[in-house]
Amino acid sequence: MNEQISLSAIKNGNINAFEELFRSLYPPLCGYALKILNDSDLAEEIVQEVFYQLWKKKEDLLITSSLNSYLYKAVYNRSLHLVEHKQVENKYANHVLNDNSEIYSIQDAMQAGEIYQIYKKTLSQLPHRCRKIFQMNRDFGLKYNEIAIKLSISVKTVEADMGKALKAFRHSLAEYK
Amino acid sequence: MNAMFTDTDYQKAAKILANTNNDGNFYNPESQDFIEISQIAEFEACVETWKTINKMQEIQKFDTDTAWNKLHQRISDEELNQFNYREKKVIPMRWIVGIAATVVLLVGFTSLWVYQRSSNQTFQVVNNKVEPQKVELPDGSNVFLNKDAQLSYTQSYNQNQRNVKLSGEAFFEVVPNSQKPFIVECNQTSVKVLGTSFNISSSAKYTEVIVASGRVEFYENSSISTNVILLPGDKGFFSNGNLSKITNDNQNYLSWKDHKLVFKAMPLQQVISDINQTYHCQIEIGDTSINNLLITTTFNDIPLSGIMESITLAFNLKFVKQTETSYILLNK
Repeated sequence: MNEQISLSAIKNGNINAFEELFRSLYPPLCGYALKILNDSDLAEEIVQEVFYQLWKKKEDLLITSSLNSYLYKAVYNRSLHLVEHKQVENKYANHVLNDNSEIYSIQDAMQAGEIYQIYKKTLSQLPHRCRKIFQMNRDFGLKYNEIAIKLSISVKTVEADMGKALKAFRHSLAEYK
Repeated sequence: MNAMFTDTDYQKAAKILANTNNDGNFYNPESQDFIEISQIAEFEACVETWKTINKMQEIQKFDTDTAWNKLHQRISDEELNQFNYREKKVIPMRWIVGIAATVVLLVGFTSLWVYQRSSNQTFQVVNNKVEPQKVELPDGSNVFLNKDAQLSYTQSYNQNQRNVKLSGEAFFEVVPNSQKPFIVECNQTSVKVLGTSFNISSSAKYTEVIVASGRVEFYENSSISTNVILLPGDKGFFSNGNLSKITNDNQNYLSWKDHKLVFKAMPLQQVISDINQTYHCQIEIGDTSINNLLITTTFNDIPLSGIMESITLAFNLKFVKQTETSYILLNK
């Protein structure tokens, strides 16, 4: 969905537009907060709070930049706020506070978010069996022979599908590093 | 992209990458016989792609479905509360207007309205929600209404005494004031206190009073001399014109308010009955053989789903949802 459309739909109280935005940005925003906080539960809590506030204040929301960068910025500010108030046991806390421009750059985080969308899209476009094999290997750490046994197929087939998946990702992610 | 890199090459590359630990040391070119000089660039691009995939998998671990459900629930609750809040704020308007014929539409979950009777306004609160509703009276006393309970009082409340009327179930926390007795009228009975906390549960057929703290006088309206004095741990009971005092053996009489349930070697059947009352649901035991399983545990403000998960796990049972509020409990 176009970002402008989604912002005005949300302002009008369209919960479906809000859900769509949430679903597409929740994982990368959590990943970003995790990087700063080093605590998954806190990261999730913060991102949910940011979305909650967005919905609550939707009517008088003034966003000059894009909705995306607004959300990344909000997550960044909240995470940093937590670190500053030492509510986080983070051995990198000093590091975060002293040098947050480089590693925690919002630009980089937004790019990771974009890559994530492409990753999800590519994954969803893989043929069914190919996707299944790829996920068994990557998400669940199964070895080729284990996958072959589980799916009653030959190891050669697993190899072929894994090659197909790699090629697809290599092509779709070509512009990003 | 490289034309020299065939599908077979991608397969080989994938095989190397997939069987390498994610520690960043993806490959040792010397051990890879298939890579020719012209292919190294493309292979290295594949390594980069693979690293990106691994990063995306870190992100992918966050459970969007669960998070969305949680957020959605929070938003719905919030909007419901705001709705009720706005509705309450309408009341003073009614006093001001008065001239024009006004149609007051009471829609929603909590309704509170005001009408005039010989310049003594009556305030009435009905709780139509599942959650307890707190009502603060003008003297600072608090009343918590269970679902379907109805409380009313007039403008003269707190002038000489503090009178309220109740139907249904409520818990009272009365601010002490020996000059102004607090009196709850309920069916044909009344409860009179000076400052204390107690629970009243009533239906058309009975009134039950359980005292949490202090001293309570429980009497029949037609003859004030027919009364019982209740102290903490006592239960007063009125039904069919008979007033009696017994010891309260129900530890969970306040669970509707604070969702705290205590079970000591209690048969499953009774446990389920307490849960049904607390959570306003209808759980049925579909298997008489499990009626008398004994349960000893405490649940302190745990959602229904959490309680049922503990019970089903402990006794190897199955909990099946039938409608929005009705469930059936079965032996696995």
